[in-house]
Formats: sequence, C-alpha cells, structure tokens
Amino acid sequence: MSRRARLALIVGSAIFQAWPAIRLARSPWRGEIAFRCAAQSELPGAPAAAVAPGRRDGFASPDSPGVSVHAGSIAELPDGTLAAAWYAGSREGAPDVRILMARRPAGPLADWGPPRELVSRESASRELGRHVRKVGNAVIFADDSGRLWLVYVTIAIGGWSGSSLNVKGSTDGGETWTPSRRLALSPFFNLSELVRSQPVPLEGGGFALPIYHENMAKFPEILWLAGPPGGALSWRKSRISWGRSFIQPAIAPLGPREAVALLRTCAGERAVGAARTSDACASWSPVRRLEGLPNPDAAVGAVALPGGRLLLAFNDSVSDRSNLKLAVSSDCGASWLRIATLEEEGGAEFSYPFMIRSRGGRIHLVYTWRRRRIRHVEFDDSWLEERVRAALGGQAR
Amino acid sequence: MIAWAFSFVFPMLLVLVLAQAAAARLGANLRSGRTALALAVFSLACVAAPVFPPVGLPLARVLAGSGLSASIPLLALVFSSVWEGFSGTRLLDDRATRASRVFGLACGLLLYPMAMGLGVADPYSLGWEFSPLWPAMWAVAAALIWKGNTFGLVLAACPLAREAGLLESPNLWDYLVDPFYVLASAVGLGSAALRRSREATPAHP
Repeated sequence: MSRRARLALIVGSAIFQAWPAIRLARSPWRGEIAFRCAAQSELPGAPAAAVAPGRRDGFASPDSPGVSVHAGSIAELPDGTLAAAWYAGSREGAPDVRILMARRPAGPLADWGPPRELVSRESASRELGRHVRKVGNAVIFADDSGRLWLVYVTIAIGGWSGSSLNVKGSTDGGETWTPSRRLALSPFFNLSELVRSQPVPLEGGGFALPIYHENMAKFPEILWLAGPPGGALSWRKSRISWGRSFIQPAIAPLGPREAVALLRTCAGERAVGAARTSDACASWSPVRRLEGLPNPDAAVGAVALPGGRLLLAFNDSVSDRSNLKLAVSSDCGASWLRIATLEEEGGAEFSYPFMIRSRGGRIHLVYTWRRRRIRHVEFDDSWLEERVRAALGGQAR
Repeated sequence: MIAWAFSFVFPMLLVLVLAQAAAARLGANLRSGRTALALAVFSLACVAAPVFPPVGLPLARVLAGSGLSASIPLLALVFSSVWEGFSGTRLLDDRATRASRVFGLACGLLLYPMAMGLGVADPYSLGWEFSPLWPAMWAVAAALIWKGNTFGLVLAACPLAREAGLLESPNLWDYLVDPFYVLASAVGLGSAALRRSREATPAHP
C-alpha cells in the first residue's frame, strides 16, 4: 500500500469516526437526564376514575390449582385501566411457563378480566428467530401516550444466569403486541440480564428500568429505554453497584435527579440494601445494608410518596417469605416505620411485591400469593396516613 | 433484518472452513471457481436450512440463540482463512494476524472481567454512544494502517459495521471483540510463544 493510500485510508476513517460524534447531538441520552417525579396526579391523561376510598383487595389472576404463579407487575393506562402481567406454569423455570396479562377497567366496581397469554417460549422463539428454552420475569409498564411496554426474560441455555431481556409493545391497551425484540446488554454472550421492578419515567420521554446481572457476579443495573418498542428503539445500560451481594433494585425517585434504590440481598448478611443517587443515576453511593430491615433473599417493592417519603413492601424476615409488610421512611431510607402487615402465615409464601402510584394518587401493589395467584391491593393516602398514625401511636405507647 | 441476515455469515464461514478441509482431503481443486461456488452453496444450505426440528430454526439462528455473535475481527480472520483456501492469497498476513491476537486478548482482558462485575468500572458502558473508545480505537487503527498492517483496516471497519447495524447490539464493543475471538487470540499467542521458546532452546547433541 502506498503512503498516499494509507494516508487516504486514515483520513477517510477519521471522517467516518466523526459521524457517531455528530449523531450524539440527537441522542435521547444527551443532556441532563431528569426523573419525572411530579405528583402522579399531575401526569397527563384522563382524570382518574372514581374509586372507593381506603383500601381494596383482590386478585389480578384467577385461582389455578396446580399452576405456579409468580412475579406480578402492574401498570396504569391514561384512562385508568390497570394492566397486570405475571408468569405461570407447572413450576418456576419450566418449559411450559407463559407470561399472562389481565386488565381491570377504570371504575369503582370494575374487576379483573380473564388473563390472556402474551408470551410463551414458542411465541418468543418464533418472534425472536432464536431458540428459547423458557421464559421468566416480566415487567409491564405504560407511557404517557398509553403505549404498553413489556420487558421480559428468556433463557436459551442454563438457568436464570443464562437470561437475556426482550421488549415488546402495544398501542391498543394490550389487544395486539409488536413482535418481541431482543436487547443486547452484556458483552459475554449477552447473558445474565434480568428484570423485576417498575421503571422510572424520564422527563422528555423514556424510562430508567431497574435490571440486574446474575452470573458469577450479582449486581444491580439500569436499562435506559427510549423510542417505540416496535420502531427506532434506543437503549443503553449503566450500573448501580458491583460485586456479588445485591440484585433486583427497586428505584424510587425523590426529585428530578435524586433517587433511592432498595435492593434484595443475596449475601450472608440478610438485610435490605440501599443506594442513593443525586445525579440521575450517573453515580451511586455504595450500597449499605439497612439495619432493622431484614431480607430473606427476596425482592422488595418501593415507591415514592408525596413529601419525599418512601413506601416499601418487603418480607420482614431473614429466612422466609411468610409475611409481607409495608414500611414508610421520611428520611430517604435511613429509618423505617412498619405501618401494616398485609400477609402473615407460617409456611406460606407472599413475595415479589411490585408497586406503582397511579395518576389518582392511589398505590397499586401486586405480589405473589402462595404461588397460586397474583394478589392486588390498592389503597389511598388516607388509608396510608391512618396506618402511619396507628403505627406512631403504637410506638409512643 | 440486516442483523438477522448477517447472523448467517459467521456460521456459514465456519462450515466453509470445514468443507474446504474435507474437500482438500478428498483431492478437490479448491482454486477452481466451480468448487468454490459449490462449497459456498453447500455451506449456506447447511446453516440456512431448518435443522432444528423442534423449533424449526436454521442452524445459524440456533447458534445465534446461544449468544454466539462474532465480532468483526473474528469474522475477518475466518474470512481470510476461507479466502486463502480458495485463492492462495492471504488477506491478513502474519503481522496482521499477530496484531489481531494482541488486540483481541488486550480487549478481552480489559472488557470482560470488569463488565462481568469485577470492579466498579464498566468499560462496556463506553460502547453505547460516541465516547473516548471511538478515538482510541481509531488511533490504534490509524497506527496499524500507517505501518501497513492490514488489521488496521479491519478495526476501521468496526464502527462502519456498527452504523450499518450488522449485529443486534448497538454497542461498539460487540463489534470489536467477542469471547471466541478472545479465546482464539489467547490460544494463538500462547502457542506462538511456546513455539518461539522451543525454537530458542538449543537441541541436545
């Protein structure tokens, strides 16, 4: 190759290198990222439908004896319709596990409709054009335009550590869905990325979706998603922590750039982990264990409340998932007040809480109920305040 | 769609390497255009036909499902080997092969331990969008091209391949390096070092 040809190649490649730099200006991730943490009642969408005050309990999934049901998630559409997704099959990780979805129309008397199948290993394999051995955790969420998103786990080889994430979307409230799209997130065979908790919406569109890595090391991460699931989807990934101790982050935004991540521990010292960011996830404090908040190696659910408070749903035990409680923190997670016991029965399992705060300000909590059903508990601020007062009264006594 | 179609290229090249070896053993003339075409068609048929009845997926997609996604340097190395078999011309000479091995091993050692959670830094995050990784990689490519090392051209092609969306991943790292490439680089460098040390050891009288 002549000297001139080499020079031409070097200059040519330098010019081409400039293209991604120019394109960076149009990136959805350029500029200051901010969480959308305004009171949810200020979010766009139709006015919240009338609902009964206080607390309301029900089930999002029907009772199906012999079927293992787990890992529920819930989303609210702009018209107040609720959509829940979970997985069900003969057992966790079985090839017959399917991801199901049910909807509850807006209205005080409305009840959950029958579930319908969203994803099976066959449909995932067909849509992704690759072998899928089994499907797992799924998280459903909605954007302001009413589009539903589903991010779910598929496994081609091995167990959960062989997972990868996929996304699909629906613009008609879950009637029809775009084909699944695989998200390349890890340099090592794109393995070991899982999802569990609700995303944080971002100002200007997009989501920060908590995910985690679970192969060799175990650590929490964030998947940044922007654009329609069936179109020009843009994604990237960042890290909350590293090591082998904490997974399944639940992120609660406290301000446009501030958030707390509460984490499941998988280390010997069984306590809920917590990390803070004050620059919209660009950096995180080291994860610290919350004294007095035990964790039996199980997922927690968290949501931000008005006034900078945090609401946590968790298993109050170091060894089992036989209870599910609510706790509130007014100091960014430094201290917690237990306000309610939702479930408690020795030998039973109540796990994987997932919470959202609706446009009307109600909290919707779904969780695995005895591995048979997905329980849905909703309550408003008045019920919450009453519980806080009762707990404080109990403490004072 | 581009990434889906491109996922057939690496498995096809691998089958071609095996087919070339088998054909050479059977005494076929690999330099003949007809043989080359026949082997290429055979290899494409091997990876494109649905060979996995329970799922009905082509072999290439079965491999893709297992996470096998070849980086551009690995593709270039295998393509160079196939090309050499058919034409006798080496696209990547010894210098380029050595440079590719050093690059592959260095990238693997830098990327994988940290990306898999060993340490707080995550170099993989540099690959999502334009970052210092781009100019750094260009500097390496430019230096190699200036020295007349053809591996520089392979490196310069990586961001091009990313812009074209040849792989599923939008991360530049996945175009630069993959686990098989790192393993092949380590084995190649190790065996070369072993060979050199054997040559340097004087033979016993």
